[in-house]
Amino acid sequence: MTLASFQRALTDLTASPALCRAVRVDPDIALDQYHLTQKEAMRLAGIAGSKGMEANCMLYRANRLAPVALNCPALCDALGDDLNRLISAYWDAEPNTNVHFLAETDRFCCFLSRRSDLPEGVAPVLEREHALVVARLAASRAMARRSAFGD
Amino acid sequence: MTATTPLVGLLYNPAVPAVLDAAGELVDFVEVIPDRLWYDFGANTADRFSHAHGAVDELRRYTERHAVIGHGIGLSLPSAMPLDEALLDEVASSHRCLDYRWYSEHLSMFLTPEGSVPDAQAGMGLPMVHDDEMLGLVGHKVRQLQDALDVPILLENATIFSPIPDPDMSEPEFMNRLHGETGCGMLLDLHNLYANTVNLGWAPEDYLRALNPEIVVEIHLAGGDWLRSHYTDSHSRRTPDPIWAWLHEWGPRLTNLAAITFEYHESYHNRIGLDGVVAELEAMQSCAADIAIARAARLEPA
Repeated sequence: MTLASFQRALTDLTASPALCRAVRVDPDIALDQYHLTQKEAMRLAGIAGSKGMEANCMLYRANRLAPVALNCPALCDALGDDLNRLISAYWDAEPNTNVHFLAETDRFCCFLSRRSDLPEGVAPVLEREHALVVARLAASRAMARRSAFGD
Repeated sequence: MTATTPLVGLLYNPAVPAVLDAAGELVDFVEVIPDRLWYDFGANTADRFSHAHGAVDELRRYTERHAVIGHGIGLSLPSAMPLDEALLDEVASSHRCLDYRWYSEHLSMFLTPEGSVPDAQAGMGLPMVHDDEMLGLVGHKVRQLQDALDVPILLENATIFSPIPDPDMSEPEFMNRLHGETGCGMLLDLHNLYANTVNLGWAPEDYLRALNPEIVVEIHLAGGDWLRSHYTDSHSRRTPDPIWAWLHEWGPRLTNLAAITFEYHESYHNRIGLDGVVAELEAMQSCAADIAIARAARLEPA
C-alpha cells in the first residue's frame, strides 16, 4: 500500500515544518521511513518545497489549536508565550487529533497537569477550566445514549 | 419560479436561524453538515455518537418549509483506507430524519491511513493524487454511499495550497471520468476554484472548458481572507466580484445546475452582517432567475 504511505507522509509533512525542511535538504534520508515509489518520493519532495506548504502547516496548527482555544480561553491567555512551546510538545506526544473537541481539550489539559514546567499562576486556571471541560464531556457522554434522529 | 430555476440556499450554522427569521422567503433550502450534528467519541467506542439534539430538532422543523441537502466532511473518500461504516450508518440515520435531496462529500483527504478511525485526522483537507488508482478508490466508496443513502451523490473540488506535482490527469478530467464510471455529480465550489486561481495561477476558463458541464449539480459561493501571502477559503466574507461574473457567464451552460449555496462560518456572522447575508441571497435569487431565462432562451426554437 504505497498510496497509504504517501498519504501518511503528506500528513506528517503538514504537521511538521521541521520535516519539510529536512525533506528540502535531503529527501532520500528524510523520506526513508516511508514505503514510497520513486514517483511518490519525487512528488513529496516537490510538495515540501512548494510555497503553499507554509499555508498547509499554518492551517494545520490553527485547526488543532481551535478546540483548546474555544474551550479553554483563559488557560490560553494564562499560558501566554508558553502556549506555543507547550502545545507543540503536546502535538509531538499526541500526533493524532481527536475529532471530539471536548475530548481533545481534556487530553491537552491532562497533558499539562502532568508537567512540572508550567508558568506561575497557570495551575489554578488549568484546574478551573479543565473541570468545566470534564463536566461538559460527561454530559456529552450521557447524551450519547439518546438518538436525536428518531431511530 | 420555474422548474429550471436553480434553488438558492444557505449552509446551516448556528447563526442561520436568525437569517431564516428575517428573510426566509429568500431561502429555498438549507444545507446541513451532518458531522456537526454530533460529537464523535471515536471508533470502537460504545455509544459513539452524541447528538446535538437542539440543532436536529430545529432542522427537523425547517424540513416542513425548506428542502434539506446533506454535505458531509467526515468520510474522507480519497484516504487509502476502508470507509468508516459506523460513520456512514450515522449519516444514513441523519438522512432518514432530514430527507436529503442529495448528499455531497469532499475531494480531499481528512483521515490519515495507518491510524485508527477517526482519531487519525489529518487536521485539515489535504490534496489527493489524480490517477487511476485514486479513481478506483473513490469510485468504490461513491458506490457504497449511493447504496447506503439512495440519493444522488456529489463531490466537491477543494482549495489546494500545495498541488501534487506531475498528476496523471487534471481535476476536471478526474471528475468527468468519475461521473462516467459512477454517475456521481459535482459540487462546483467557485470560491475554491477562485482561491486556486489566486494561489496557484490556475486559469478558470481552462478549468471550465475541461469540465463536462452536465455533471455540475450544485455551486458553492463564499468569501475568504489572506493568511500571509495565501488566500484561504475561510468562509468569512461575502462572495468576491469575479465569482459573480463566473456564475453569470457559466451558470446557463451548466444544464443540470439545481442549487446555489452560500457558505459562511457563524463566527463571521457579525462581520458579514444580517444585511450582508440577505444581500447575498438576493443576488443569488437574481442570478438563479437569469440562469432560468437564459436556459429557456436556449430551448426556444430558432
